[in-house]
Formats: sequence, structure tokens, C-alpha cells
Amino acid sequence: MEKVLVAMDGYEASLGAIKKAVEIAGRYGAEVVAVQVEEDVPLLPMEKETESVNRIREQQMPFFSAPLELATAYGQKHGVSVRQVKARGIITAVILKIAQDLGVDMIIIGDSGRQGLQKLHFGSVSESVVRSSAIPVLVVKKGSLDLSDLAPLMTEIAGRTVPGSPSQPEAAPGIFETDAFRKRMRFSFGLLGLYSLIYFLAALFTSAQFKELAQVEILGLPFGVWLGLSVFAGGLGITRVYLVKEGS
Amino acid sequence: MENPIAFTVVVLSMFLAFFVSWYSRRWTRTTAEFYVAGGKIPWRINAMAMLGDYCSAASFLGVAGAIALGGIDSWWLAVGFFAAWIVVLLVLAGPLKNAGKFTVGDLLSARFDGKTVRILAMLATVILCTLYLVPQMVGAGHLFQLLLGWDYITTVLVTGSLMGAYVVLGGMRGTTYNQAIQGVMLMGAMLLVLVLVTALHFGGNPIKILAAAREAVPPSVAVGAASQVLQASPPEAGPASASGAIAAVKQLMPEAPSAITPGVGLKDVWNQMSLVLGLFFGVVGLPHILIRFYTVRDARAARKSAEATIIGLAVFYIAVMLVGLGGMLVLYPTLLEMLAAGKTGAATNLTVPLLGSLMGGQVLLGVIVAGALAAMLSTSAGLLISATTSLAHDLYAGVVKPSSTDRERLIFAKTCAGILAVIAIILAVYLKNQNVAVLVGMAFGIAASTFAPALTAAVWWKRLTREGLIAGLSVGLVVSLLYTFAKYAGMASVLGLPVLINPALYSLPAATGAMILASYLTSDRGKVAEFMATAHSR
Repeated sequence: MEKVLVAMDGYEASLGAIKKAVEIAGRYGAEVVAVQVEEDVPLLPMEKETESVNRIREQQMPFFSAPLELATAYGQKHGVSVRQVKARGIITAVILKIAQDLGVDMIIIGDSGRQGLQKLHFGSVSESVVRSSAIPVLVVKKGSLDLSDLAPLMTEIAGRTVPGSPSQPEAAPGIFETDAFRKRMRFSFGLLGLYSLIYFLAALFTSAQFKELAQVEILGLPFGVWLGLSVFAGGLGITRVYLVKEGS
Repeated sequence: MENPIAFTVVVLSMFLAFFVSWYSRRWTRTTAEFYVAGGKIPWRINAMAMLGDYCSAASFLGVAGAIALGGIDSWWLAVGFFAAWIVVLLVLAGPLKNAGKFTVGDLLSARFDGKTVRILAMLATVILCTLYLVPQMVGAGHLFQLLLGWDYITTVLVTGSLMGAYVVLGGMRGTTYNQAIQGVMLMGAMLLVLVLVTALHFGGNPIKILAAAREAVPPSVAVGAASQVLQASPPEAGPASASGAIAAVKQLMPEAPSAITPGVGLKDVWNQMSLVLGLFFGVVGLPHILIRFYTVRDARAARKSAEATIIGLAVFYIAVMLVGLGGMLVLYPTLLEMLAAGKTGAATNLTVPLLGSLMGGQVLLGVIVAGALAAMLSTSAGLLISATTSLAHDLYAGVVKPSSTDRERLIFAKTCAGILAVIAIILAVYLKNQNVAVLVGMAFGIAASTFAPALTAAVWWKRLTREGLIAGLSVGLVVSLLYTFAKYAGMASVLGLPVLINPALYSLPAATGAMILASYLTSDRGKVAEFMATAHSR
């Protein structure tokens, strides 16, 4: 056995998985691949906060925001090398993909032991990994291992890293280029000006003062109705142009 | 209960929506196929949620109802509701995602830290969200009055409390997925009505709706002739009497404009301009829409969600126009009778459900009410959540108790959601007879005069100063509120200026002017370099 993958999110169950992974890798002289998946789900900030408040309430141990660093430190302590992998996407799918890409021999994952409505809502990542994995999976249940020896390492790491919210990673600020900024500004506001022209002219012609003009029939429809439709058509066109230019 | 089957359909579909949204969170964690899971799903879901968030009672009931009564002129509301999204995309979508984290206050105080900017942003957010909540409650009141036969005040109290309870008790979880599902529901219901009305009454050809509308005088114009016409063609006779009534009115008033003649609603150029200005720049300032841009991973995904929403809205609002005109033609005597009896509020907001009930009985009525309810619930949830996020984050965590835990903030947020719902219910009782789309238009006007100039300047104008921002936000808020309340108080003019249908024509230039003037007089530009680099990074 050469590589052991451990998936973790910083909650209690995954900390047990770290311990087990380092223990097994140490026994076989294998490398630990520590994987942390950041979820890519379009949740509102308040939704994320509600979730983490509720999840933390299920835990006996506090949530730990730097599990990869913890895995590395714990590995070092036991002479096991740990490779850190940070990824983004749907948790189960990403874990399985990384395991496949790196040719991992075994997956170790924690199980929160969630039940009832909570399980209906969140599902069980460990269960779905077991169900879909082509390689052996070891599930470490929450509370099945003594985690007290992790505490000093956690304090040490927490001391040197700034604690962050689990779902709100800091984005690295880019570099401000004045030329690029001006170009984008001209482009954005140029399109906005063009669209404003279509929109406000259309609106003007359909007001009471200019209604004679808007009432002129073209191809069976009053000019005013065509103007309204052109606001839609113009909007769709400008949207497409903007997105093509912005490289999306 | 008047419509037990329809009511059952509504309850079942709501239950289904809640169940699916509760369940879909697990899907986002436990799907095993990587390529299915790849990058596209989050922004697509977000786009659907935006659609649900944005299309409220105003779009679903109000615009179609206003078109059915007054003809094509009322479509301008929908044209504006659509066009505003182009402004959001071009001006704000990318920078907003890059620079913001939780609230509009967050984004502004990323450039100008300190309490004043944050509190002001919080205040504007809460006022806007509450005023926008009112039309949702008015719509719900009329809708359930129709469905259950209760009187308006009871209905508003019950539905309003339920909407508040929904957010307080469970709505902060699964909101996004629920909004996405409700977005699909309201879109599906509107398209279904369009397909049915076209197939059953216009030989399957939507162009025929426009052609027939050319020969009809809009009910709001024809109401004077109502008593003569209704004797010959009573509403009880169904659609058959509609064409008779339309022809009879046309004969009585041969010179009257048709339903697709622009200018019938006779908005003069100032009212029209004020309205379209408020609508155009409104969405850039609507907190419950802006907050949705924080949910996707990067600026690119934010723009992609905006585009998908724009395409969805184009389809939706063109369908709304056709359904409104179709509804007028099919329900003509009914609408005339309601107008003649003074039931303006019901007539202007209930065309779509009435049309459904006529075409497909209680089942279709149920489907449509479910669609409308989806529109209201998803919007109300979005509004309450963005208001309370701002209260919890900007006020409570930012000023009152910076050391608060997540849990304390959540409790504070839920309490506030309850209080705001109560305020909105009280206002909804008072504003019973207003068209919900017009009420929403007012909120747009306030948004266009506060956050729209403030946010645009914050992310694009380096010369903006702290005092400029504060001046712009305050002046915009005060002037727009002044003219909004003057409108509802029935005043003809304030400070020598006539009160218009929307405050934006005065308040937007006033806010912008104050912001520019104060910026040139002062020098504190905030953390401009750092902020611009974050906002405009790729």
C-alpha cells in the first residue's frame, strides 16, 4: 500500500479519520493524501452561517478550520509524509476523483453519525463514498477514537493561523491595472449608454406626449409595441456581447 | 372553504417544493459523478434562485393584471423589470461578487470602513426590504381571498404570519434551493397558462392574441359603458359573452384606443420618465437581488448567472404580456363588472388566477395560485433574509456587539425577521387597493436613488469620498421616501414639485448630485487602491 487518502472538513468526525490515516500509513510506510473539499454551492451567507451553527452544535469538539495543517503536523510527529490537496466542488465526487487521479489504495473518512431529519437534509458523505468507491474505504465513526493528543497540535496551529469561517475563504486580492480598468469601464459604460438610448427612447415614445408616433402601425403592430420588444432583443444582444468580451 | 381541490393542489405543491429543497442539499454533498458535478450547476441553480427571488407577486399577478385592465401600456413595468438586469450585469455583477461578502454594507465598508457607512447601508437595506415586502403581502391577501373566500384583513394576517414564520422557523435553511424550485414553478405556471389560453381560445397561435387585442377597448377605458354592456353579455355566460361584450363596447366607443395602442394609460412624459428611470436603475440597488451574487464562486459565475436570469426573464415577461392581453379578452365582462363594482384591487391583481380557474377549473386555479405563492414566498424569503442579514451582520455584529457568536447573531436575525414581517402586514392592510406592481415600482424608485448611485460610484469612481457616499445615500433616501409617502398620502405636490407615480425622477438626480458635490468638496477616498484591485480583479 502506497497512498492513503483521508478526507476531512475540520469537524470532529474527520479528525478521527486523520489519526487513523496516519496510523495506517505509518504501519505500511505509505504517504497520506489529505483532502479538504470546499463546497461549491450557491448558498446565501446567512444559509451558510445557519448550517455551520447547527453543525457545530452537534459536535463535542470545536470545529477546526485548518485540518490540512493539522494532518501535516500530526504526520510529522509520527514520521509520516502528508500531501495536502485542496479542491472545490461536490464533496463525494471530488474525493472519488482525486482518489482515482492519484492512484490511491485506500480512502479513510469520518462518519458524523447524523440521524433522522439532519441526515435527510445533509445526507452522508461517508455512505456515498462507500457506495461509489472502487477501492477499499475505511469509515471512522465520530467518538470512536480518543482525540486528546490532537489538542496541543490544534492549539499550536490555531496560534499561527488566522481562524476563518469554514465556508468563506479569503480571496486573494488581484493587482489593480489602471489601463485595464479604464478599458473595462469604457466597455461597460459604453454598452450601458447604448442600451439606455434604446430603453429611454422607447419609453419616451410611449408616453402620452408622443403617443401618435407610438401608435403608427408597422407590420400589424403599433410602433410602441415594437419598441418594447426591441428593449428585450437589445438586452439579450448586449448581454451576449458583454459576456463574450468578458471571456465568460 | 370555497375551493377545496385548488387549495389541496396549492398545499401539495408547496409541500413538494419544501421537501425537494430540503432534500437537494444532500444531493450537493453526495453525488458521486464528477462531471455531472462540474462547474455549471452552482450558477445555474443560482440563476433559477435569482428568478424566484426577483419574480414576485408584482411580476406574476400585478403586471398581467394591469395589462388586462389597461392594455399594453402597463407592459412598461415588465419592460423595465427586464431592462434593469442589463444594468446590473454591465455595472455591478462582477465587481459586487469580487468585493462583497455578506451585505451591501460590507461592500461599501470594504472601501470606507467605520460605523456611519455601515449603519446607513443597513438602514436603507431594511427600509427597502420592508417596503418591498408589502406588495408581496397585498398580493397574498387578494390571492387567498379569492381562493378561500376569507375577507382581506384576515387573509393578510394569516398569510403574512405564515410567510414570516416560514423564514423565522425554517427558511434560513434551504432558501436557495427553495427559491430555485419556486423560480421553476412560477415560470412553469405562467407558461402553462399561456399555452392553454392560446390553445383553447386563440387556435394555438399567440399572434392571434395581439390581433384580437387590436379590436378590444381596455376595460379601464370601457368601464363607463359597463352597465349597458353587462346586461347583454353577463360574466356568468363565460367566454362566449366576452367577444359579444368586446364588440358591444367597440360599437359604443368607436374612437376609443385599443388594448395594444400605446399611450392609453396616459402617463405624461414626466410620470413615464420617472417610472422607467426608477425601474431601470432599481435592481442595481435591491439588496435581496445583490446578495445573490455573493453565493457563486467568482465574478465569472456571477455574470453567467445574471445572463441566465436575463434570458429567463425575457421569456417570462413576454409570456406575461400575452397572458395579460389574453386574460383581458377572455375575461372581459368579468373584469368590467369588477371594475364597475369598485373592486379595483382584486381586478388588477387576480386576472391570471381567474383565467386559470375559467380554463381548467379548480386544478388549474390551484396550479396558478401555487405559482403565485411560489413567487411571493421566494421573494419574501429573499427580502427578509437580506434585511436580517444586514441587521445581524452590519448592526449587531458590526456595532452593537462585535464579540457576538454566530448563534447569537442568528437569534437576533430571526427576531428581526419576525418584527419586519409584522410591520409589513400592517402596511399591507393599509395599502389594500394598490396594484402590487405599482407598489413594487415604488420600492424600485427608492433603490434606484440610494444604493444604485452609491454602489456604482463605489466600484467605478475613484474620486468618491466618504462624505460623498454618505451625502448621496442620505439625500436619496430622504427625497425618495418623501415623494413615496406623499404619493400614498394623496398629496399633489411637495416642495413645489408635482408628486409623480415614482420618486426616481427627483431623488436619483438629487442623490447623484449630492454625492458628486460632496465628493469634490472633501478628500477621504477610503481604501481606494486596495478596494479597486479586489473589485476589478479577474
